[in-house]
Amino acid sequence: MKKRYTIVFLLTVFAACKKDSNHTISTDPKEGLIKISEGYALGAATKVELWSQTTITTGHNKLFLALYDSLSNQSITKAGIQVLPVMDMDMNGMQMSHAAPCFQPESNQAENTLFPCAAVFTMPGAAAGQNKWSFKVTVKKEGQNNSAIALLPLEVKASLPARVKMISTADGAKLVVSCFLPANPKIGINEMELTIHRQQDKMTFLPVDDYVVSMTPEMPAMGHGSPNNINPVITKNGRYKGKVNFTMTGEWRINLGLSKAGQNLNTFFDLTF
Amino acid sequence: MDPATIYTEPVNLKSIEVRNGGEGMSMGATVGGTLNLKLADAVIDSNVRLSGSMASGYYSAAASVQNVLAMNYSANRWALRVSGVYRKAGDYMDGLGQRIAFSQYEKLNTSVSGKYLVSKNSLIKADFLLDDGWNIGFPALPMDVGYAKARIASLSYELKGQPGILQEMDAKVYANSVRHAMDDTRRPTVTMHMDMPGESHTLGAFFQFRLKPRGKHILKLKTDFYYNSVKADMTMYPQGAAPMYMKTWPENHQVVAGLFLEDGIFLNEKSRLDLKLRVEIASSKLADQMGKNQFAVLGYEVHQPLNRFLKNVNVSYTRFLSPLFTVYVSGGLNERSPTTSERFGFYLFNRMDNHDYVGNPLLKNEQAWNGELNLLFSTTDFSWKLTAFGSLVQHYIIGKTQPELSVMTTGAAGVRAYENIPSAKLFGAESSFNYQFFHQHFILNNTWKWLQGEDHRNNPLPLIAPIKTITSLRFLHRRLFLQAENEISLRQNQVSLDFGEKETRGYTVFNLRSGYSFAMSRYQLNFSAGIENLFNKAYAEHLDWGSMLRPGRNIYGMLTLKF
Repeated sequence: MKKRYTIVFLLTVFAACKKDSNHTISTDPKEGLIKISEGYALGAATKVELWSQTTITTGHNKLFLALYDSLSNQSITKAGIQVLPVMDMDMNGMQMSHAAPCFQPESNQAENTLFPCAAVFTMPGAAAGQNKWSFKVTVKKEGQNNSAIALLPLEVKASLPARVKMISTADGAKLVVSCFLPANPKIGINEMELTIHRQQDKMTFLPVDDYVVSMTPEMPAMGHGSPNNINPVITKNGRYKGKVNFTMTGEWRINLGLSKAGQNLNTFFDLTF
Repeated sequence: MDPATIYTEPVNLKSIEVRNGGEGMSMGATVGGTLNLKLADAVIDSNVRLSGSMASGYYSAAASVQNVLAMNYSANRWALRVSGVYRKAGDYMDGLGQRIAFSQYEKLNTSVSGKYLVSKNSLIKADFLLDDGWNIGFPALPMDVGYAKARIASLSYELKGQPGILQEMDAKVYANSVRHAMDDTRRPTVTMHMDMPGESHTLGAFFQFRLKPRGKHILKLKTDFYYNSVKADMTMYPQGAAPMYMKTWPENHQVVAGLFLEDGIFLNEKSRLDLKLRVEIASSKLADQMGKNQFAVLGYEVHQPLNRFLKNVNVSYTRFLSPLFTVYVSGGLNERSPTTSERFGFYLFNRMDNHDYVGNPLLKNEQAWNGELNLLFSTTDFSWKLTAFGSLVQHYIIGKTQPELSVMTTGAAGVRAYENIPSAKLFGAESSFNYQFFHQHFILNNTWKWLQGEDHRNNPLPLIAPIKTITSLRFLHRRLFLQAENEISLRQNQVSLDFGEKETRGYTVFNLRSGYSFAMSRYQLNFSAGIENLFNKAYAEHLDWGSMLRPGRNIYGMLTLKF
């Protein structure tokens, strides 16, 4: 009799547990992301993984870093991180390197175990060979005085149509302008974002916050545009946000005018949907 | 677009009823008036089993042919009528002797109508109309209509001569469906090929009752309902690039329900008062997300259905002053809600003014105060009707040029959006005169019409035809008739400059017509022939956009066999 009660009790407990476990939805922070590369920050006993929503192409790419203790394989959720995309070129034996604009993680605290950051790749390159890209990640773990560097090789494909443009200003400076839209542009109102960086030297790109941007989309096949676009305006760190309107599907060209102190620059970005 | 008006051939028509202002409100909420086309019925006549007519005609200006066949078969309690019309026209020649390329068309119209007498006082009627047009040229456009197909069907039940309070009843269900597509594949130089298909489907029903006269009152009641769905889109194919797609009529559903009441009051032998009242609820909704997004680009949120309540009231008074002279006065308030195109059209091309039109979902109802005065004078040989009318329309809906919007249709002159202007005035007069003389061997007929429209700043409204008068003199002798006609349209200089309208010159055109009928024992053979635009005048009407010249001299002949 007692045994029977125990069984009933246990069954009830199991049933309750099962029900509970159904309610807790396990969210994998990396769900829907693609692993691009990984490497070790030697001296910090840290494994660094680079993740992205899409394969990496020239232009703006939103990236995620995941850090693990290389001994315990435990996720590291607090660390000071600096990133820099570096292109190493070998031109007939002549070595040359340059960087690309990037956006640092905003906090030393991970968001759901990931550190979001971004980079604007300016040219295509492979993970190894003559023109190779690497993502240089400088990690300073909490409680450590020294930082360690991980170099993550990665492949960058050419975006088509181009999502990044390099333009020269009147005073000879180089600007890197990238434009990105939602993954699936639609007929109607679309959020759009621009980034503008000025190249200071080969390894340094500074965000430029004081351009006045005007935007005029057009369909080159027809010569018509769309009404009520909202010109991108600066949010922070060289990022400009606006709204672009498409009245129909097809090939569109987004013409941009950048003006500052009486100087005007023009560029454009194409897209087809 | 009223499918019945476009897709009806004269051979299918029994009558056309034109009602100005709010007079036609039993048909639906209206501001400008209505056109009620009554289709020809099958005729039940047990004495004539089979009757009908066959006709064939030729018109020189466009080397066009027309063939008509109509047959009626009658049994004792039922009858069936079948008719068919086939037309084919080439490119016409204008008054300068130039061929107008792409003015051709081809069209087949078929209708079947059946009637069954259920009892002495009740009958069931079924109608089906099929109208197929294809290769319809639009000379002033870079493209033609590839096909236009209409299917109109209805089933009705009529009950008459009932003893109770309900004396007459008329119930009808109907459905119509129209599909059309533009076609540019026949044009020699097409910068960009495009597909522009569209369709409209309507399903409706009405019940109409006439109550037993009570004292001086005769009451009529009608309730009606319809559902309409429209959609149209456009795909353009630029060379070596991705196709471009948009919805020119985003899928739109409209439901309308109305209630109409008419009271005819016979005040005394000499005067009569008519009261008409109609209330209507209309709800329309954009049904596709892409259409909603398109309108977001124009700055409109169109997620909610748009509901409207419409009121139409009309009072008229008829006074029989003498056996020869009658005065008829009417006035009222009428409302209409914006049409689907006025609300939800997206870069819809309008060939009237060569502009792309975008809709405005926030348009208010048009509201018109109408007044009309009619004088009728008639003797056995002479009749004259003179009408003066005026409307003050509040929230008048008009297309205004939007310089910041760029055209979608190749060749269009600009983009216009519908707007409510505070008010507009429309006024005018009409005369219709008929005189038979010389032992009724001669009939003189004259009609003229004058219409003027002004906006709230007293500027002329666009798309107003100038004064036009048509005079005809017909000579009848036994089986022969000869007729001379003259059509005069005055210059239109009251044009809307904002609208980009230009003045149109006046013109005078003469036509000659004749007919002779041979009577045989069981048949009748009619021959008619004539010359339209006798002096080969090169002319265009004010409402012909692009001032595309109308056909020049047209010699025609037609043979009709009735049996």
